[in-house]
Amino acid sequence: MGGLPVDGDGMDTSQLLKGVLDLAVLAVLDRGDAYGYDIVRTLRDAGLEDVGDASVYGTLRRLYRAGRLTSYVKPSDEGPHRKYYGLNQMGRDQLHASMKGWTEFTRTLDGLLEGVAR
Amino acid sequence: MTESTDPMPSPAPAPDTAAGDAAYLAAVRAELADLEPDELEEVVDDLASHLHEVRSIGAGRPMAEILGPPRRYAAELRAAAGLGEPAAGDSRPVGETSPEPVLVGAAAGVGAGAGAAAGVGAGAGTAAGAVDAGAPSPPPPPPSGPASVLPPPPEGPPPGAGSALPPPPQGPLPPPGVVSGVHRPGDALGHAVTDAAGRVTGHRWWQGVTGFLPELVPAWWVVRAWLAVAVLGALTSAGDAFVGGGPVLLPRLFGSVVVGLVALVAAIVWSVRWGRARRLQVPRSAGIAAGLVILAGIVVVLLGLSFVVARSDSGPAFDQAVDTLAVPPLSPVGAQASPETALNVYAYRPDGTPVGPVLLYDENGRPLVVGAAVGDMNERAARVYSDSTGEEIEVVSPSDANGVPVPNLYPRQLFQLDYGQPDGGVRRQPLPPPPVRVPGAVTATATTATTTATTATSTAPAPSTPAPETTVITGSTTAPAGADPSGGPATTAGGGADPSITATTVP
Repeated sequence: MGGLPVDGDGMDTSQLLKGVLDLAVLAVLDRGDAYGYDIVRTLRDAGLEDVGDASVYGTLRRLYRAGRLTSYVKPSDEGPHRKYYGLNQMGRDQLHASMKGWTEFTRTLDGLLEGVAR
Repeated sequence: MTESTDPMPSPAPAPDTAAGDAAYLAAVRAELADLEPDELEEVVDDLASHLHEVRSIGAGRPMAEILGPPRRYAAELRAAAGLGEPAAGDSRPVGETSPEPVLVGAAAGVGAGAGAAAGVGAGAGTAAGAVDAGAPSPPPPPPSGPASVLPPPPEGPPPGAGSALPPPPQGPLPPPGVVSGVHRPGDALGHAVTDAAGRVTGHRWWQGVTGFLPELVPAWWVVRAWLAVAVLGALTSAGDAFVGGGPVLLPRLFGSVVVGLVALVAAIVWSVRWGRARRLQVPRSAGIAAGLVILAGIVVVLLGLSFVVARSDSGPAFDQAVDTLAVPPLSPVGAQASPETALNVYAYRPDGTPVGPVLLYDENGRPLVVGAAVGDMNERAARVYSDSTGEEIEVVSPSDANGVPVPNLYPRQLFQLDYGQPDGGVRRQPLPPPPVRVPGAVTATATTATTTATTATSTAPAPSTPAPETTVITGSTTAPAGADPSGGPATTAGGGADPSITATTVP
């Protein structure tokens, strides 16, 4: 899968993910509306293999309640209806703001790591 | 998985797993029982759907093995959603400062790689290998049977591998779903209802409306600030809370517009800040409802304002028309005359003395006949209906010595006809001349070309009520009202408003 290293590889990626799951979910939804499980799979496909189902659903609920997301229900052929989530303007605003913060953060950290002998 | 070309095999869960999934759902629900009912329903709804999705690839395995124990799932969701701990007993306000989500490592009970593979597989045929490799022990159920293989959704590519996302919600809605999975038969009715609701709420206009309405909430923040200041102003300004007293939007505070304006600005700032902070906690449904209320309120206010404006516009205009037109709104009997048709002409000297009878001609010497369309003024009398009173009025033209009507001889005599007499007869009530106001200090400098008589010149203020006689037709006329005592042969009434109209005495 080539994902991020998991626990035990020297870095607790779940702790890293904590701070950026909002950004990750918003980024997924920026590609288009999606339902919960779809988002989980997309995140794992992208390499965030540690992401927990409940964390994604909880994040969606929180973002939704904070007015960042729209939500609607769509029937599914395979079973219960699916609840789709999508970005509204507030969500897009947050995504862009978080993106900026993330970029600055990684640049800072890259700068610190540059001097480290490999 | 020989049917790997099938984009979406969806094996039905075995009965025991279905029951187990339902139990899992119930267990998570119990863990979250302290949530607000709306939020709990949303969360459980999400999970019910999720369990079905997960079950489609994790067939045969206990759900607690795939997703972790219910308690852990609930705790993880609670943390990620920023919901309070169950001990707290209430849902904490959610906002920018809500706690960061806690990630629980890979799906509980399964190695990270396997869990991820199982998750990624997600029932997609293209990932069948991963599923096979990742599934620990029980084989997947045979992908056969009438209810086990469902047709692919008509939405396009199957969700699953890579970044394939479902189509945007604007697409046509698929047919109602087949009820299967974690839902028991008893859920069928509720399922049908949610499906129907899903068709409505998935529709484009619904999404458009529900997406739009919450955007109106900030308008309410401003309105409530204004209302607060307006109410305060009404309390402190003794009824005159608004500038000018009309529908002006600037409230006075303590009788001062400036104070009111400052207070309004401060109130709006405070209200918007408060609203923005609180908005993060308000469920979206409340936002939609608030948007609806605001929309209705805006419509009502606009309607009311337009009504007020229309009234204030039409009022003065109407009064002015009454003041200046001085034309009886009459329509003829059996003839086509506009209500503006004049039936009579009253002439006055500049000093306000009534003049008459007079003959009117235009600049070409043609007799001027007003109300020509009212019947045939060559007849002696015509009857019309008053538009304003609905009463019938008889217009009588004066006649010359031979009894021939003279249509340009004025004033004519107007009678109001009253049919309601006890004896069945008709009473003819003479109509007095209208009250007029002759402009004061009129200096008539023009001399008329057609007569050599004296021209009335007066600088005296006109009397406010000329009070002419009710019957002004004299001499040679045969008007039944009799002679005009004041109507000596007037010589000339030139120098009026229209020099082209020349009044001469009756021959």
